[in-house]
Amino acid sequence: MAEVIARSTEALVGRSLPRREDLTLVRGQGTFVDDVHLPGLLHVAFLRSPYAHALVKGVDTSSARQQAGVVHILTGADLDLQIPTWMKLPDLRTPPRPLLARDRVLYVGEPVAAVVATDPYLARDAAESIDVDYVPLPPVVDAESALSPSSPRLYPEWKDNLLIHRAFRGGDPDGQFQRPDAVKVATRVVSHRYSPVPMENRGVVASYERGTGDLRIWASTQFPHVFGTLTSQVLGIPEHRIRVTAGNVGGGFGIKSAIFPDELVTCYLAHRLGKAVKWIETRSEHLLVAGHARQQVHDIEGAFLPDGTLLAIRDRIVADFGVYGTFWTEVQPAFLSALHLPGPYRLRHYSYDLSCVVTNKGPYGPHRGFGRPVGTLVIERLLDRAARELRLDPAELRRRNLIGPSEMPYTSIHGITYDSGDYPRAFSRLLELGGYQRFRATQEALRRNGRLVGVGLSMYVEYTAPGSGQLLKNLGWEVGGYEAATLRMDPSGKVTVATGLLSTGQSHETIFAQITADELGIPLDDVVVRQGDTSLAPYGFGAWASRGTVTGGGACILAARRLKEKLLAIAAHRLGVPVESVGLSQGVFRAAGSPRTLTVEEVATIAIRMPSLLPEGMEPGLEVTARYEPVTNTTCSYAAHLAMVEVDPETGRLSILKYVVIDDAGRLVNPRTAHGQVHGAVAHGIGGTIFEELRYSPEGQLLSSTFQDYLLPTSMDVPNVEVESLETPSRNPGGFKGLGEGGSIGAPAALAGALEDALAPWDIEVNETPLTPERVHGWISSAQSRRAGREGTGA
Amino acid sequence: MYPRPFEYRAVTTVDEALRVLHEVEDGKVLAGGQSLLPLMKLRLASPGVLVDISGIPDLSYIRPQGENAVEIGSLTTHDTVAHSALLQERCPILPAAARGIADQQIRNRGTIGGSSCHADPASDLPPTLLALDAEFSIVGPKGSRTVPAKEFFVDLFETQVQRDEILHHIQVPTLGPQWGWSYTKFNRREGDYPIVGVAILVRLDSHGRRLEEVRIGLAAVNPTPCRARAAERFLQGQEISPAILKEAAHRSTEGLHPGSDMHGSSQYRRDMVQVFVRRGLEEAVTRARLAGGNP
Amino acid sequence: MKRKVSLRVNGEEREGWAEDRMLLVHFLRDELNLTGTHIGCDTGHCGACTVLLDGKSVKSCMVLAVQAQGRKVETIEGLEREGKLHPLQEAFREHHGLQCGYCTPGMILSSLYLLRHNPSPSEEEIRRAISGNLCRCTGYVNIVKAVRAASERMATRVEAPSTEETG
Repeated sequence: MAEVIARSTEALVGRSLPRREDLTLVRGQGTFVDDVHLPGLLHVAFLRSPYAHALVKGVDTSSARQQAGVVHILTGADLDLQIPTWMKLPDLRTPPRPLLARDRVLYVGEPVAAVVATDPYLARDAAESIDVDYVPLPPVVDAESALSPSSPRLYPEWKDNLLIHRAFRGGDPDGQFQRPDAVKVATRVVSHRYSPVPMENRGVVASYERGTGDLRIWASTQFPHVFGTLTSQVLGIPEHRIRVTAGNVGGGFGIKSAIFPDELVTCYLAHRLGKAVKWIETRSEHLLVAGHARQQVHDIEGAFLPDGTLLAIRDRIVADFGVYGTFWTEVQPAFLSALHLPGPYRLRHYSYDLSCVVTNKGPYGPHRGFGRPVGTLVIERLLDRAARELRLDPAELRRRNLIGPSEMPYTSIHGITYDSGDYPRAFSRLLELGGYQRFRATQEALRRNGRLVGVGLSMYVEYTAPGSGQLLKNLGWEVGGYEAATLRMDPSGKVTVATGLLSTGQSHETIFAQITADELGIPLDDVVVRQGDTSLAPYGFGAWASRGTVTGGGACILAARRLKEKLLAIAAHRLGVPVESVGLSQGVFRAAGSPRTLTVEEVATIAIRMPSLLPEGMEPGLEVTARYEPVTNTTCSYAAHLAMVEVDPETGRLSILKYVVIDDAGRLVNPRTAHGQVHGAVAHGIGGTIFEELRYSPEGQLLSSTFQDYLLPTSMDVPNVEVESLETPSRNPGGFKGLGEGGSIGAPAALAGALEDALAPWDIEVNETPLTPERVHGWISSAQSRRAGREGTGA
Repeated sequence: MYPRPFEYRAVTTVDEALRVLHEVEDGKVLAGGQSLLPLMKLRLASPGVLVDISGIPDLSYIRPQGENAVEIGSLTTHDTVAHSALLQERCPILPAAARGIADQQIRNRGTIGGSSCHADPASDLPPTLLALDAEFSIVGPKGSRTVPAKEFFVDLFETQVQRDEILHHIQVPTLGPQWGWSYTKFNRREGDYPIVGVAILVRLDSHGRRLEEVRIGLAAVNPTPCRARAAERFLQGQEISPAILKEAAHRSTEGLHPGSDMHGSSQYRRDMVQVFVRRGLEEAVTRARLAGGNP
Repeated sequence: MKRKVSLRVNGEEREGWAEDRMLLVHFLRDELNLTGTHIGCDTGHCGACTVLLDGKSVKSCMVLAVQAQGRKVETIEGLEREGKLHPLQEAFREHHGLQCGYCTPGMILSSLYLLRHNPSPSEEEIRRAISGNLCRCTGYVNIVKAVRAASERMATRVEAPSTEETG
């Protein structure tokens, strides 16, 4: 067993230890929110809008109230509460975010009424017998049309459908475009709407104890403390009376770092009724309302020198936010698409015009990669276009534009610091491991046999674990970038680590124990990690922005150092030696030149139970809380992706032959779990690029509201992703960089590039996702008829 | 998701099933439930009484009917069909089609009779049974009757089986060595319903050069599973050549009215029918030639 | 109206009450408190609720509780024997075949069904066998590895005969 191996003197960080989480989870003993059962538990069901845009003239609950098991019914008329914003920019409009629709509904799936019943079956029965009088209004479904002055408006008090408009100009892009030697390349890239879709839907159990005034909440969330704060803000319940617990969380991928009206209504109902209530989201509800993402259109042009050097980029972006962005991240995903678009490529002249638009579709939320997958897709499409135009090998064109190691730290045109790394080395290794040159040699032969195979390349730079200053200054975001850890040593010398982060699959219980045990010099078995309880852990912001290891790991290191300092001082005092001569390893204090030793247990016992034996004036106890605020404004991870695909020319169906990732996330705590994150994130990117789509009808109806139509990739669709890591340490404690999102940033671009390469004989531009068989078939058919037409006129 | 209330009646004999169906107003037969229960959970179907026939032991079997046919009880699961040695020997197209249905869990529970009676035009088995000219034996209050496949599928989700009847068994022919077959399913992911499904049977002359008989069953391109009759007629008696197969593929879309959905528009389905009829014919011809010793 | 449903779960006689429309997965979770079986969708696509019913893998959200009357059910809770994890459970852990762990019980049950019928599956066969179980975390890479490793281990060490084998 790993815990036994871990007793060796080797460092724990850097080793692929099996996870502690698994002993619970493989037995089916996890505690997910739906597993929480309380005495007298009531069940909530929502009635949701069937219309994309309508006036609500009346809600008749009279027959529903008569139904068996019904305890309470809540409608918008009973409840005038809104979700506020946490992101304040002077030019950002904040749409109303009612907990229940009042006089109008703005998207299919918007909660209109909530039923509380003794049984979930009965709650659903009653919800469907509520009668709502709707007067349908024309829906706004397309974001570009939504910008037209003649478009219907979502919010009558606004003069248009714009959440925010941003224009950015760095350097002199127009001047570059006018250079006589500039080769201009333009394209339009359309990224479709899809969403995180964890396997566990959202859910809340809430219980209000009238005696104490305590509201207890169990939620499937990525950020228990934030959940508590927002609940307090919206419901007006004092924050110290709210305790949020998250047990196991069945995946998040961004969406559980958002809070939607249904979750808050459930908490409200517990408070109002003084009862325990449960709401578990259905998959259809999830697809309708839980945080859509990625839908953007880019009209982009690049100026290049004939040798492939990128001079300048101009972009026009329209991002479709649906009814609104969530309170937490608002329009940030679109900001980050533009911000991260330049990636690892030298770019000194860049301008863009960004419109964030509201439409009658489900709300926009954070989603693994957070805007970057679209930015990366767009620039890589542009680079492939340029390579074709300039008749350069796409790998060569990229290599010429990569920022080199001697340029580090590099400041991007947006002022982002690319702190460390060797982009060209990662890229070369990618080509080598992926067999790029060999593939090029065989590609021609395969083409002659009618086989359409192609290779696609992409690289990205991802700033991870952003600091507080950066968040407030650049985004107006009232959210800390730091994270906290409390280390408490018991009299027996065992350590409990408590953090406000929460693992939704990222192995925190294992990796934070590895980090802490290493730093303290005690066996791994002597450390336990506790998360997901606001009453236990210091205030934390949760796991998002690929920040868990950097910020949480950093806090563990800082806290461990302080705890160790105190332990050493006590040991030195008891051993009667200078503190500098004492060391702690494998749980034993030894002093240079002294045969005497002390165990951690002995020292801990003194510190807690026999404080009179402590050095003069030392405070008893062994409990340290430390916070880690990332040192630089950012640390940047990066990766290089290569995909090889084959297309069936008659059907347009794509199959992935090979997928390789070279990833640099700084020092890895547990390489196997780190690579597991990359596998999953690439699969996420494959799903989004080829299979998954939230498609709306012109009436604003979601066409993919079940797993029959929203297609997650299966075991047959994801290849054995090959991952190799470079480990360029960052300046953060431990040398960590962020990791969790990366794979899904690189994949869309690599796959689209591979497809375009496969279709090169027809000179097809792959500029719209998802890459469905029908879409690809359509491209091939049009290219064939174009060619036939040309040949026809030529003859 | 939670179905609306209903009354559950489990029956253990065919007679009991018929009696209960006769008694109740709003009865619906539950076999494997793999199509019906999801619809009920989404509240798109709400029968008042669910008559569960899955416990009738006499309806789950695969047995020879003389030399020339195989009889399959309506409660035989897809998994059993997929692994049947008898079917593999006598009628291998049917196990091939069954293997591609959904996933292992659904094949373990879904039944050939349930799938046939549900008559989803996008299912894999109905077009295969159509191509096989299978015969459907239905029992009801007035006794039993046998309906040929071409009459069995009446409309979207509608068959000859009346509300108070149940499908007892399906008979499929033994395919002799002169027959070749293929079942091709084109879909987005493993186990999804087909965008198009094509079941093909060909019978060749003794030299393996001429098509004596061709049957083409299609899924997901019409309100009911259907046969590509124009293409079949065109091919009959033809000498096999790439051009002929291509022309047949072209004609296979005659009379089709495919619907559109997320995964394929009407036009795309028409295009794909042509691709997969051609490929399916090639595969079936190759098999027939191998079987007939004319590779 | 509720009926009493008696069945054998993981080798133990159990009973509970179920309305006719109650799904087996809700019965297992809410009546028998076997919460290791999860729910991930509404339509029988995700496989999180996979259990073995009379030895066959089924999606317990597509079976009524009343249909399980008198039958044998195996769930994730029944795999461990005398404090020893099943080789599949061990292999999922050793090969990092799980992250959030939500799909894991269903994934393991589907794999168990596979290995009982095909003790030495190829990678292709493993992938096909779990294609009705969706995982959002792992990209399946390490799940496939884990199932293969378990099959190798079980080949050398015969699986303790299940009390639920239907023969």
